[in-house]
Amino acid sequence: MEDLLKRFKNFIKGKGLKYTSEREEILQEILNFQGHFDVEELFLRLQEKKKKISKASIYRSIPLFIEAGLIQEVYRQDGHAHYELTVNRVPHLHFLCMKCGKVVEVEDPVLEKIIREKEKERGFKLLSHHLESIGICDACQREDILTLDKVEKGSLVEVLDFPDNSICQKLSAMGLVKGSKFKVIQICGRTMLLERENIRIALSKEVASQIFVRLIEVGEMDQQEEISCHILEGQKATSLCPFFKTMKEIPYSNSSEEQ
Amino acid sequence: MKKITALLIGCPNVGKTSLLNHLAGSTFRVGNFPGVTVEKREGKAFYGDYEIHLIDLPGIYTTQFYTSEDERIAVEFLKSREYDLVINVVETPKLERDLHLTLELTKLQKPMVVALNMMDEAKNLGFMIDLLRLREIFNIPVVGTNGRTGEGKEKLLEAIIEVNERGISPQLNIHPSQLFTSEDSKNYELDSLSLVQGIAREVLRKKIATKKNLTSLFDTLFLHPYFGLLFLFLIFYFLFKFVFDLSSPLVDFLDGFINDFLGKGLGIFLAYLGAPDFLVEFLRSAVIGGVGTVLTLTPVLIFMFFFLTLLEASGYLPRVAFLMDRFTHRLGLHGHSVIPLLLGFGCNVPAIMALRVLSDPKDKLIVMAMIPFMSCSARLVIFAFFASLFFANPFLVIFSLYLLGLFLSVLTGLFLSKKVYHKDLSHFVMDLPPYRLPSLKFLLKMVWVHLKRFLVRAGTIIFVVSVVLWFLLNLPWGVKNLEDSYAGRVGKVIAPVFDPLGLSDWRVATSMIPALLAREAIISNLAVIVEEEEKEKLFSEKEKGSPEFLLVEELKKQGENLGEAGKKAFFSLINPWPSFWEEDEEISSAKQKIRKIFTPAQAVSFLVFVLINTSCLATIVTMAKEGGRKIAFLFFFYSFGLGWVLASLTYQIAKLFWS
Repeated sequence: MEDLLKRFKNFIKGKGLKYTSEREEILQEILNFQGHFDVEELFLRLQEKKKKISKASIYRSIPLFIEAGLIQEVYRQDGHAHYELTVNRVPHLHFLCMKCGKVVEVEDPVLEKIIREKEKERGFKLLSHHLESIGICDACQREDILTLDKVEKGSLVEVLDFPDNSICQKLSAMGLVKGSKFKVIQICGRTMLLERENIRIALSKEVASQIFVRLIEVGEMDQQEEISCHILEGQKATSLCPFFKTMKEIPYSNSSEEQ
Repeated sequence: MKKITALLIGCPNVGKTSLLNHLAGSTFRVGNFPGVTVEKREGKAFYGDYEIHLIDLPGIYTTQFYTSEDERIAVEFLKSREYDLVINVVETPKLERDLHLTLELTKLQKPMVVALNMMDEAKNLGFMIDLLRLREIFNIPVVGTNGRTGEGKEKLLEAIIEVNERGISPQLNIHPSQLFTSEDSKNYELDSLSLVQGIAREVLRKKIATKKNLTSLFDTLFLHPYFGLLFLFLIFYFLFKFVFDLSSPLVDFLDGFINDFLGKGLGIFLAYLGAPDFLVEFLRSAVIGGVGTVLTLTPVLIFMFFFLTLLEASGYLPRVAFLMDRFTHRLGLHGHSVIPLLLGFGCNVPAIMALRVLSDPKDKLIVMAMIPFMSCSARLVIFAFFASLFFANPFLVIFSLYLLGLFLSVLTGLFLSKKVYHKDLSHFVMDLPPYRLPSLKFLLKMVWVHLKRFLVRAGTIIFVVSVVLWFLLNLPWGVKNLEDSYAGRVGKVIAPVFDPLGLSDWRVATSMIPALLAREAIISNLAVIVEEEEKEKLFSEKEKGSPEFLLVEELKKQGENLGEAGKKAFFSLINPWPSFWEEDEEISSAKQKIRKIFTPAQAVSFLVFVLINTSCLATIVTMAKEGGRKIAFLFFFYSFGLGWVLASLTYQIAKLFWS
């Protein structure tokens, strides 16, 4: 850490600029904080520590840090840049989910090897890396297109596809046609109740598991209701624990704020 | 007169049978759940110069395939039988869904009429339908109807004749480009799905609905995972409470009226005319005693069928299926099988028929063996008669008997599914109709249909059984002691079988034999026997000279009794608790005599045996027809054995309490 501060000090002096305590404090905060960050986040952290540093000075300092090879811009999201420390990092790839904003770092020795090889080949001196792949993360994929039995009460879904067996064909003839939108209005035990306009269809989850749907609107099941269902189902107590349920949900719902 | 044969075809629960009832003046059972009609129903309508033979078939969603017996009947009839035209009944509020079937039916190339049923409901939902445009598209007449009131009946008949005379077959008169914007119409090879959507969009305009949708409100209550169960219990508790509390004062009244007024009056009147003794005695024992005693229980049936019809017509039954699915699936059955079980409360025969809606043959057999434990109305009649005669709280006794039946039913189902058939879970798919409130007129009509059947049975089977028993009690002619009569001898032979049940009395044993024809005959038989025992007394009374019988005064007394009974019944409605039996001094002599035959312990054992033993020929025959002779045969012995064992146990335990 001291090393890095010294390096930055020399860099600033070499540029003929003034080394201020403000700049040092910002850098220290960045060094303390591992992971991706943006200006807003950095500002809030400094404010928390009762440091009186304006956003403007952060904005002015960032290009200096980049030039000094300390941080790099990783990706842009919601109209502003996010950064990470470059020091002591091997080149790595960022997988960026365009739905939830989750960023996953992919490190692989192969990646580094290729970059080093090309560096030599071209006689290029690399300072920082900016590798970014955009897509949809596995959680979001699952959330979007799933089988009907995984849908929670109150959700609105669009029926996409189902196999050609007789029970699904019958369902289709009952009004559950491909492309139609249904609301899941009640789930109890292994039975679900779907509604669309005047059509109400009850079906068991075994059948529902054959039907692929796209989730349009997520509904939340009443905790009490779920517990009562589980009790009636005679399921194990562990699956009843509300904490268990919340824990499971964090990566889905809070992921965008974490970044 | 020219003849036309027309088929009523449509999705389940769209009102085909209701329309048939209006068109042909028939009184077939209708209800608000899919699968009410499971067999072919026929009726005739006359219009102008035509006799229209109408055939109503079970509902189908598609003609392409079938998944259950009732659908098979409809699809096969449609494809392989001779008929002149098809009346496609459509549930207008679900127009888009039903048009799939309409489109499939057009491919049959048969003359066709479309009846847009439930027009009133569609209007309440803010639907406006362009009938002319629909007619143009399919090139066949389209008529708006209302199965509840019979509205549109004439127009439908006119359309049938028009179609028949001109041989109008459906022809899709629409080019896909008319239905879709240029963007969609690229795929001219349209699948039927988009075609139907296009047609629906073309003919249907929706306004914002003016009336509130009560169905979703009710469903949040009734289908709630745990409040739903509470409502289920309350609904059935009040059903039985009302049936029992409303009817018991009226039963008491009828008892007094038939035995003390009609019986006595008739005897005196005939004696006045100088009729021979044996005729007076015959009428008194066989007719008044036998048939009359059974008829006193008519109010029980009236109220039971009233509430059961209300349940069936309200749309609540499919909700019970939904709620119970999580319990029935432990038996390897899906919730749908609950509907036939509940129908069993009315009569087991149509309940077994209703199993045709189940697609899995194993499901059918399991539920078939469960249904006979559901106490039917005939058993209710016996329960009501005995419970009020022997116990302080008859309601509790009857309710426990129903619960015992339910318990045994579940046990039987569990045994069959786990040990015999090794059932896997089966799929559950069901259409939940909106809640509907039936009109009082409709309810009364349906009650009358059931009641008529009961009265006919009382007038035929029970009457014949009573007469035969009366003769057997008097043969060889002039026999002094009833035990030496033919009936007495037969009774004595089989009585030892019922010894462990505490029912070794030959009078009880004799009464139970003809119960195979109609369970209510047990009551009439007992009544005939006790009346016969009293004949010595009757004649000695007569020698003393006729007792006084003043018609006007007696009538006045009966009128007062009726008013009293009505008042009691009305007040019992307000009281949420079942009313307790008050020691009534005025019960008829026949009842008092029957009371002497049984001790309370024997009565309990007797009721348990009647509950479990399937002594109903009609049920056994239906079982054989729907599930094969083997299962019917086995079940007959199973239920007898189970009934015998449990009734013996009950008797041994009950003896400890009542002696």
